[in-house]
Amino acid sequence: MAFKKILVIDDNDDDLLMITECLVEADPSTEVITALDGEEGIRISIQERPEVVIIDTTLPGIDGFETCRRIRSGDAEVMIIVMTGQVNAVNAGKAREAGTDEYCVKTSDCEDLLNALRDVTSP
Amino acid sequence: MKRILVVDDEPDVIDLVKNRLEANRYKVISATDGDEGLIKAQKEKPDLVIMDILMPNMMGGEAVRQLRSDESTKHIPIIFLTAVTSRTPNGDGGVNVDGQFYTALPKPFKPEKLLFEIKRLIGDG
Amino acid sequence: MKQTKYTIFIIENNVSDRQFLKKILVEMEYDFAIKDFATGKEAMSEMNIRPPDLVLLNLYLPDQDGFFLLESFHQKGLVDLPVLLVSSFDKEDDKKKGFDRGAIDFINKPIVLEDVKARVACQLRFKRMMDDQKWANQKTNEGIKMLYKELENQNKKLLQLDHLKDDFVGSVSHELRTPLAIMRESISQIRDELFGEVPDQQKRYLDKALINMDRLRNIIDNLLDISKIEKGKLEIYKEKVDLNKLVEEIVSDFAVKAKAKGLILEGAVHGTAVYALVDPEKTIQVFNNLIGNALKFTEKGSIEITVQEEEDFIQCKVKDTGKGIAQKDLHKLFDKFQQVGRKHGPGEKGTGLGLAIAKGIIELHGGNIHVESTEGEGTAFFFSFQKYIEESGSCMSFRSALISAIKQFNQLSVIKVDIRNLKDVDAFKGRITKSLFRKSDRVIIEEQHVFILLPDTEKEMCSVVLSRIKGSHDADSLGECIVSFPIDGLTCDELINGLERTIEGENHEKNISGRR
Repeated sequence: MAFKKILVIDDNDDDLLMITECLVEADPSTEVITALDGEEGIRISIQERPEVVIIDTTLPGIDGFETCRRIRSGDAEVMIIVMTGQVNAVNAGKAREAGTDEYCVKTSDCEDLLNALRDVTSP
Repeated sequence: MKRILVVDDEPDVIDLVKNRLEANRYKVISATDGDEGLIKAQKEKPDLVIMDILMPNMMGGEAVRQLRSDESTKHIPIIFLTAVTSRTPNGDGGVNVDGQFYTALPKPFKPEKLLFEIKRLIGDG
Repeated sequence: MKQTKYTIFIIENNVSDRQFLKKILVEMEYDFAIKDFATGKEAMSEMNIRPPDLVLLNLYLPDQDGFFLLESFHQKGLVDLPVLLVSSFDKEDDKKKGFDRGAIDFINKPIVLEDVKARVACQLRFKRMMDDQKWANQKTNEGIKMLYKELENQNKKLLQLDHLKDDFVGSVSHELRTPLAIMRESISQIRDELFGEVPDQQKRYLDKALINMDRLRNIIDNLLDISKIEKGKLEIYKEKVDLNKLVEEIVSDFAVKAKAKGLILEGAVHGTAVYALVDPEKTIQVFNNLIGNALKFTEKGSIEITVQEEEDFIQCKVKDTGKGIAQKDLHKLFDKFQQVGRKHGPGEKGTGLGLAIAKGIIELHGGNIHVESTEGEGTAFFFSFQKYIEESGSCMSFRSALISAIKQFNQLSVIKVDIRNLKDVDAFKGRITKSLFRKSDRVIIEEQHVFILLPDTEKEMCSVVLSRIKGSHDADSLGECIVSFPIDGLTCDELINGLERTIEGENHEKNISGRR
């Protein structure tokens, strides 16, 4: 799962740090860029063209689902993973409908996120 | 002159207890672990043993057990002087070895208290 | 929306129908792959490689008939594969047979363009919805499993940390004691002039060192206590205690300190005993902590300690006329390491644990503590202890001694002596005290009986103790009996029953020898 550039959108600094560390540990060649809210995330995704965007569901301003929808509408190819601390089928459905490729829970070891990254790359 | 065996793995503790006891006219013999303490107790037959608990080779509790099982040493009174206990269930000053209750003084100890306990058990030097 | 691309199979032997169907599908605006087959066999072999998402199946193929194919799909486990049957449905029960074998809808021949479009679109939408729902459920299940795992891991980590903290407090406390002992005794020996004369001024500073080392030892003891309280491992051994007398003793201990500060220290003693069922050592600790605190924060006026017997409990109060505590700080007063509003002289700083320990001890006794304070006027601590009730008191002491015997896998023997016929009770009590050598031994004196609790003592040994106690001839008029745990019973009630049964009227000598 070699990605050159991954964008992580999360309003929690600690979580951002944790996720960045997990991603870099999984693949040291990956460049991880971060955004603290949806608007900033959308802007950066347009500028930086990451291969993968990881979006937390709860964000200040526009939420993770809407952020996902907007990024997807501008880019059919980018891989999107919606990540959440409150996992339930309604949210999963909403994420799917918003155009995500994967839906995973946020855990301290990022295991589910890394699984999701593996899944989006496999055909 | 009453003779007291001090068993402790800290030479400084032995040194200080020795000073204090000698100043009160007791004669002091010393050992730095339970093994040596046992041998010296059997050989010298002291009037009292002051015993640490956590020591290399043989712990104080085991040493006391062996002293008790030996006819020639079983009568010798014992005081534990240890860092392991601060307050025991019955106020300060108790260690239980095989159902026998022994006086125990916590480290750091007050010298007057140590001397009091010794005097209570074997009288003046 | 980026989603998996659907594949549709057209299985139709009629060339023109096949082309027509294909053309209709291509014209639809959905993005899907179309594969067309003239025979069932071809379709089945492709099906084995990658099953489609929708099938348009002619009912009458030259090699295999449609019903047979429908059954084969099922056998391959493709239960959810939506199949549209394409046929003129000449035979009356064709549709029923199709439905029975899992077909989902029909397209009538001759083929009508709008009909095909509508039915295919409907199936694809339905398929998409089902897939999304399935996906969402699957992701949610995986996520919940992952969260559960996370929770378990966190829990494990917390437990480890907790143990680590406990071990740390315990071992650090012990590690600190030996060096502290060496330092204290070194200074103490210099101070006591074991090595030659020491000028007074130097003595004063050596005293300061000693006082502060004792303070350090106090901190270590407190840390151990609080860690035991938090672990629920602080054991209390309740017995009958006269709180008034206890307070009197404590007050006399603090008298010098109070006088030095010019404070009036009053322990209200009305001469009457107020009996509580408490652990005496721990209760002293509570009073020491509270009175020590009051002394620290009171510059002038008085400190008053009262012990009041209420109907169901004993209410104690430690009240000072000190600086008081701000209302906003009151709620955190009993928290660990809280040094609320402290500004006092050097050498007076506490550990911030005293009140937390006091609260822990009081609560372990089943009582409670609260505080009332007015800034500038003073502070009062109110706390309660359980009353000693004559019938249950000895039983309670007995019970707590038994509990500790059980915990430590030790024996426990109890001697009950009837003192009703005794002429000189005080002399007898004196002999009991002299005959017991160990600090763990307990004597409970009631009006008619004396109980002697001997932990770690075999029943055989009790008669030796008893003969020491009896000593003189006057003891002959006594009635006594002995029970031991575990040989006479495993519960408090069993042992008490044993005591009650045997004492009445029997010859005590026979009693003892009979029990050997």
